[in-house]
Amino acid sequence: MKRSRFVISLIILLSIALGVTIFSVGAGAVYISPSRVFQVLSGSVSQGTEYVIIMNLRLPRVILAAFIGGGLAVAGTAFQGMFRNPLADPYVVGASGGAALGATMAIAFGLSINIAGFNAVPITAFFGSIAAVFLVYLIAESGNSASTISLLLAGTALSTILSSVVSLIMLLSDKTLHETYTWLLGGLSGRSWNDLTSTAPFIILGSLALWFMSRPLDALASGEKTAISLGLPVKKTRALIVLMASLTTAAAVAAGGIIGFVGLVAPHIARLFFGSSHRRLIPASMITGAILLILADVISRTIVAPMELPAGIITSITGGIFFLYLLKARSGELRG
Amino acid sequence: MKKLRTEELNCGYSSRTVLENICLDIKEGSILGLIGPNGSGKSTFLNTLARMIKPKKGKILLAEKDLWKISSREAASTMAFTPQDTGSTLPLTINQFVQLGRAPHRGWLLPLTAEDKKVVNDALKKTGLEGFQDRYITELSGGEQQRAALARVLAQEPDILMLDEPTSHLDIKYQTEILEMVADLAHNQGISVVISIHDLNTAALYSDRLALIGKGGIAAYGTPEEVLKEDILTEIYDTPVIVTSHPLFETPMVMPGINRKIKKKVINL
Repeated sequence: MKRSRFVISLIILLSIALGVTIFSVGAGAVYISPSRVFQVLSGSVSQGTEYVIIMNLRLPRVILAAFIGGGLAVAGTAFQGMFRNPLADPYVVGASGGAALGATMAIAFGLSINIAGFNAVPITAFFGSIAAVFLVYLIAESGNSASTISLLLAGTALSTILSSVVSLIMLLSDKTLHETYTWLLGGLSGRSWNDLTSTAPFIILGSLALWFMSRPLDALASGEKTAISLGLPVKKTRALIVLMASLTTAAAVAAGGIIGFVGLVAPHIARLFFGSSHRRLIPASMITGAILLILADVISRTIVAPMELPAGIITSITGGIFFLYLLKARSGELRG
Repeated sequence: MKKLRTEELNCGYSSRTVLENICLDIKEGSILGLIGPNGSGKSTFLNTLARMIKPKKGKILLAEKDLWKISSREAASTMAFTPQDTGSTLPLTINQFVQLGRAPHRGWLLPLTAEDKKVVNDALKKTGLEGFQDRYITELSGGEQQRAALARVLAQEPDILMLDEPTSHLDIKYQTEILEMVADLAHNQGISVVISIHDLNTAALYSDRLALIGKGGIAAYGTPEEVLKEDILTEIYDTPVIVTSHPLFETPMVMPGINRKIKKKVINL
């Protein structure tokens, strides 16, 4: 794709993101028209109920959705490239299993730590996630055939073990079953500026780092031997990619629970329009992921209003159907 | 042009040694063909030479410096390698793929300069891929994919080029096309080429020297005439062969010499 076409496509994608943001800030139990939303966002209205609803409730939540969706999409893109596997997602090296165990334990055992204004659940989810990935990495790289495949296998195995432990804890503490289950499904109910300021820095850092590693990712996606022959320090690069993608994922999971499919589907959609070169794919993928989760979140809080569904359910249903469609439509092109 | 040689090299994997005591001098501007039976260790040797696998013992010397004591980037700016499997499920365009070849010179973070782009364009031109550069690698035929792989290593501007069975899945037209390009690189641009080739006759046609890998080491080394002898090949490949010569170029030609129990029927019409 020519540079000019790439820039135009990116501008179109950004415009869609902006439109979706304005629409979803307005949507909800109290409908606010786009023009009103625009007035509030541009600063010409600075008081009243609508102002409070937008600035205190909806805007932080929509922006948080954008960051979480974008972060998951970038992590998914990086893992798909690194593993050369179109089925890889942000959770492929165990990030979700660790986060789930951390959060489940915090809820079931009624943990009430509070660090810098944060509750136990996001904190335990974040560190659980990092710990699980670290463990997977150690197991995979300690073997003789330290390779990309062993990372994938260790990730799958540990995730299975951890999710069984999670099920066991849920079974033993049935009082907190509902709360735990809701968290596991993922969603953004009741999130505030506070959640955003704690999550965004990690996602920005991780995504930027991965974007800087675009060319190493291109090389790895072309095959490990090709990457080595180009002089890429493959082991170090792989460690850095795992670290940065997992930091991004852990922050996203801590803030929104385990939201499925965004990190898998967004890179595929972006790849359709922007190709596989990571320098272009990563930003495109990030914006696509942001759009998808903003939309899923707005559906989750309007479809059965005034009740809310976990956004993770919406992303999994729509994402799953869309993925099947992609698979069918592009079965000729997705060569194994 | 930097030179590559090995000193009492043992190659293999963690649990076993495949090849022992290999001492080879790769001559500047020439083609060294690696031949040998399936599983003899051609690929293992080439992968060791290309810094994919650590030697079990001995040394590989690049410009008299231990290959494993210089940085991977320094090695990659002098030696280029095309592995057997170049396919990808997440395809780049040809241009993006060939641009990767500049990484050892430009680094992984800095954008490519006008000079880099010129080298990339030259590589595309030399491999006849000009005008195709925006097509995806996976859309190409086997011969075109090998050309793209060759363009990528050319963009690397190597002194030493290693190719792992670049012609194995190609028909005779594309085989000839790729090997003619390789011959041009060696003989006209002074690049030293190490190439593993399955087919003995193409190996004989294009190699200046042959190394026959077998019985855990180099079973024979020399010009094609010196290596492709009936007794040597019959022993190493464990099957009777007949050696004649190419009608035009007088290089050796090898064909099976099976003691047929059942003669092929001659049908008189």
